[in-house]
Amino acid sequence: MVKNYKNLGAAAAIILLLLALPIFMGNYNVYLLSKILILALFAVAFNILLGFTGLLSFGHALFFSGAAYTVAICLTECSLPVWASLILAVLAVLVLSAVTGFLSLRHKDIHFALITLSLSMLFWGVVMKWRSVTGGEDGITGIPRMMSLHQYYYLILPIVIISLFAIYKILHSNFGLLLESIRENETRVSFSGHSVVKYRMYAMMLSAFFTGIAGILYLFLDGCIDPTVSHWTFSAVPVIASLIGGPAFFSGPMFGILIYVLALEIITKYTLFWQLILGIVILVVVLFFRGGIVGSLKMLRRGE
Amino acid sequence: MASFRIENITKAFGKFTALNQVSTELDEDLISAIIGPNGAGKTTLVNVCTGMFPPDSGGLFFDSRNVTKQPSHKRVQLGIARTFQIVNIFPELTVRENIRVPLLYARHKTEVEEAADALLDTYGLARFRDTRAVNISHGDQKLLEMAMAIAVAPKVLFLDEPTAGVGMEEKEKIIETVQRFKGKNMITAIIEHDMETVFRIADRIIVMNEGEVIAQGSPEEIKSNAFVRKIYLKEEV
Repeated sequence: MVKNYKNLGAAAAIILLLLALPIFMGNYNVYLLSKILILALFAVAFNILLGFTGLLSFGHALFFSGAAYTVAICLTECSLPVWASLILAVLAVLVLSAVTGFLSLRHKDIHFALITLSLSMLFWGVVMKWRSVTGGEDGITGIPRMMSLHQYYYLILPIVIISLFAIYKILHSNFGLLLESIRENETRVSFSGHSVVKYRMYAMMLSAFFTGIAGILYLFLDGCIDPTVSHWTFSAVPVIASLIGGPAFFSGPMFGILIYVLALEIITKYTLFWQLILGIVILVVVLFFRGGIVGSLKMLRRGE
Repeated sequence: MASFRIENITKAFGKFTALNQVSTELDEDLISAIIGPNGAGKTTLVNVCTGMFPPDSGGLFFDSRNVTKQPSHKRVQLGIARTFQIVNIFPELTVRENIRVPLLYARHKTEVEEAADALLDTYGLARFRDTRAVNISHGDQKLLEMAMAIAVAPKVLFLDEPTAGVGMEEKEKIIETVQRFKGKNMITAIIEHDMETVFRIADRIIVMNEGEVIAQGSPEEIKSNAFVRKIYLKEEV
């Protein structure tokens, strides 16, 4: 109970800080903070599969960009109202995740990762080649945000907080226990009377849904979209963030994203070879801090 | 009277025939022991019966219902549960969470917590309720797995070497638990190597050798079967 109050206190303090920070910030830093919030939601949504269900997806860019492109196309090509575009984007993501799940969820480990990667790259190929609709390599520009960056930040913040809270509650429910048990031992889950594939499908659709929300928020933040967010390298972002932060913990990917984005900001100011340094960071975390930052901090606190 | 019928089951792995035309019947309220030397096909038979993999030919019938092609979770839903030779639990979850997983299928969500506590009490695991399953003794893990199998309220229960690798005290606990299954409208089949345990708890014995059933009957019939004594008990007849 005390631990719960402590967690609640920490969460309230972070929310207050996030509410206050933009008051003292210029446009660029508010943009950066917005980006961190959106990518944090992306990483936590991704980690429903990796950390809690034991499935490494290398294709989450498909859901992120799938939702973003759907909204962008609906707004620019079809001139649909925003609400209709958002509904269509959610439906598109659910369909994409159902198809991905149908093709991949009977497999696991490297096979699952490669199927998700392939489907994501298939989508990237379509985006690159279907120039008349997607704008090809140039993407789609001119998506109206309809408000200032500061105002948009205060729209993003509650959406991200509510989404994170919803994911937290789901992962700490009976459904979350079933996902963890699948990660632990899928054979025993089957012999407990549950369909492993069914629950994996639910997890995939849930993960894709929140990833899609992140994708839509990202679209309006930048006001444009291009194939970089469909590429497999973008699917690697939540993987790296989860590894750095600690995939076994709900908050792990959030810390991971914070470090990832800030490190990129700082490193790229000094060198063009940022991938080299990022590679070293990942190597160190994987070799010496298996539980990620959150896991290591918890071990330190327990005195292990 | 419920029964589980195994009809002419054959299963091969490449050129190796693990089960060859195996037929037998398991009856309600009886404890049937499946015995035989290593490689006789006992575990393969249980794996086929519980849906770990399909047979090449033959059929499995529970209460006259053909379950041969049902996946394992569907068989559990019909009432066919099992434990494994090597402990098969959720090592990183707490003992109570381990029990809750099968209960989430078998019980209404409002009953899960109470049923979990009741099972933990029955199996003497209440003191470990918040301990991670990986940290309890091997014998208690075996009991936990048995409690997890029982949590789905099975009508047929296959126990694959439940006493393997456990201490004397824990073995006694497991044997007592298995004996309690009698008279509960359940079909119980147990693979066991220890002959003393087999003759102590089994009402019926099925003897396997090289993928075939070579004898089946009451413990007395098996004891006096010259062929079994020669092949399995390695006695001079």
